[in-house]
Amino acid sequence: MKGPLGLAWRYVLFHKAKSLILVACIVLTTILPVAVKLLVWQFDQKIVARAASTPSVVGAKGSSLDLVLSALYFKQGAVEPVSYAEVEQARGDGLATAIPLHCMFTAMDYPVVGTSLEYFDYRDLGVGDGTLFVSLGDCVVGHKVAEMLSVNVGDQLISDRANVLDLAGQSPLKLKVVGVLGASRTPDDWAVFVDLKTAWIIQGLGHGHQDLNKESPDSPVLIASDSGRIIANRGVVSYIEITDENVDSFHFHGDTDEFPVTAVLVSANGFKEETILQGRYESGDSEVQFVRPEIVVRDLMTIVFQVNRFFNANAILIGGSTAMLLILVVLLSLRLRKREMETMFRLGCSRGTIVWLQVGEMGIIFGVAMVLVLLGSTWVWSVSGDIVESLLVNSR
Amino acid sequence: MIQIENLKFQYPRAEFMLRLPRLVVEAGQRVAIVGPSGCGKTTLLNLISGITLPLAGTVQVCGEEVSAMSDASRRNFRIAKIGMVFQQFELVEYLDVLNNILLPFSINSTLPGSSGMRCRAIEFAEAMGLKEKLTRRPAQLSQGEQQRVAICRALITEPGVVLADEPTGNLDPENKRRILDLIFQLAEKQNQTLVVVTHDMGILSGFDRVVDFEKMRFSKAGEKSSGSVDSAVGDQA
Repeated sequence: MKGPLGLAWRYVLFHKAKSLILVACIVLTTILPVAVKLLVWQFDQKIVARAASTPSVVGAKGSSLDLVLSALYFKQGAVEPVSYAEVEQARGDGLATAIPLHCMFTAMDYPVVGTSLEYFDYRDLGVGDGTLFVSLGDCVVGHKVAEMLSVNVGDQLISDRANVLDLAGQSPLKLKVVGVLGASRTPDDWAVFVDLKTAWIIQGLGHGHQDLNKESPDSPVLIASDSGRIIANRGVVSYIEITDENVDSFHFHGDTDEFPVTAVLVSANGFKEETILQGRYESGDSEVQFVRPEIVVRDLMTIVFQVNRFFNANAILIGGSTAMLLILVVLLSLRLRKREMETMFRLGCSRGTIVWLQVGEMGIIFGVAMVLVLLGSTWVWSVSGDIVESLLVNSR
Repeated sequence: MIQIENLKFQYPRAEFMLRLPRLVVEAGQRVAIVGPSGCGKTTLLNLISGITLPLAGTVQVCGEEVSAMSDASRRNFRIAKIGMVFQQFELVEYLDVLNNILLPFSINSTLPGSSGMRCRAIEFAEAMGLKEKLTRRPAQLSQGEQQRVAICRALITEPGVVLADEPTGNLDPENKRRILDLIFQLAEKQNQTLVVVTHDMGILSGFDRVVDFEKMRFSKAGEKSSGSVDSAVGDQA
């Protein structure tokens, strides 16, 4: 580089610390609002797209947002469960396809979603490796779960205890990974899918244990055995893993229609059917609600954008303050360099060239800062999808 | 080479006025201008180089009337025809020795830049004993070395006139003589006219002429001034 720009470049290089501080000021002031903007935009795109692909959700009355977040992002503990009978009722008239969702537990901190095989067609999810679950104890892991936990088909995952201090509570269940989903860049990448019955077993509503019919009458686990009625003590071995050998011993106590699901995805067969369904849920004293996720999410985004406006105003104020600080630094620098400028003028340099020299220095600093902001923004953009998904899925 | 006629100059709101009826410096001549601080020596150099303009009178350098030129022409004329050496060296702190020498080419695009100028700068530095220090910055040089760099910078454009303002003012006695000899040697080699402002009477030997601003006299170096010559007048208006 020659001429004033060459001098400017050498000045910037010579005053490394000052230049770096100025660059850092500009980068930090710029990258933060840009990154937030990108994340909010990505958040908007992701959450609206997910909501738009889910026509309607049925769940317990209460916060419609919590219900939507539970159904779309597997957010746990947010909603009260409804009975499985609601699924059957939604299916019953042939008005819609109803898919149950059971999101109450985690495995290695990732949500375990109990559902039916219809879910995968509904979300257009393909298996990247292996198969979908076919029997109790099988699980299919999302693409990101497999990546983060380094699990493959044939590996095992252990469900987390609902409460680590509850030693007498339900034992964790070993889940056999039978499939890994292909990347979908949706919350499904971050979940572990099991059959609904497997989810109920994790919850403790069903279990398997040693066959007491095969025990001898003097077995220490038997309290009484009388004409086909067997009473055992707590020494009975309960299985924490479902295998081909013990799968037949797993059973449920109670009416499965009363078993819980956290939400029901409802895909009506048409607009008319959807309206009928909605009317049915919204009339009378139904204990469930029928929500359209897209409407709920757009309401949420309205609030998000309003909050974002405050953030934008804050960013403008900080940007203004930084700009004034930079002007002050430049003015002080000009004062310090008065003799240098005077010497250049005496040698035969024009005032215009001196101004160009200053502009060049600031231009280089701004240029470097903008390149860094661009690189940073590109990086934020590349990971924003994952960040938004993981935030939404993991915000338990 | 330099011809000044009926020159008058006064800074705004200042009492001091410089009056110089006539001063002629021939090509290749080495002239020292002496006098106490404030008598107008540096102002005269500024007038010759066209940094400031006279109130009245004419200043001709290399046959061109400096005060009649436009600002841009004067700047271009100054950088091409006049080399300047300052008492405080005035090197650019963030440039290394080589780029300090080449500074005139960086700040004025009218100078014909060529690949040869870089070689010439290296030759100058070599002649000044700075060959090993081309990549050093001014802060890494001694004062004598800094002044040598400043001299190289003044001569790199091969100007017709070299104006030096107290070039030895910040140097120790040993370096004073050395620097002055170098200036003489290089100016003679390129047949350059040399005007040196100083109030150091100990360095006057070697000059062709000495102009005593205070006594308004011109004399040959080493002689007592005789009294009647072209007169330079610095007085209170």
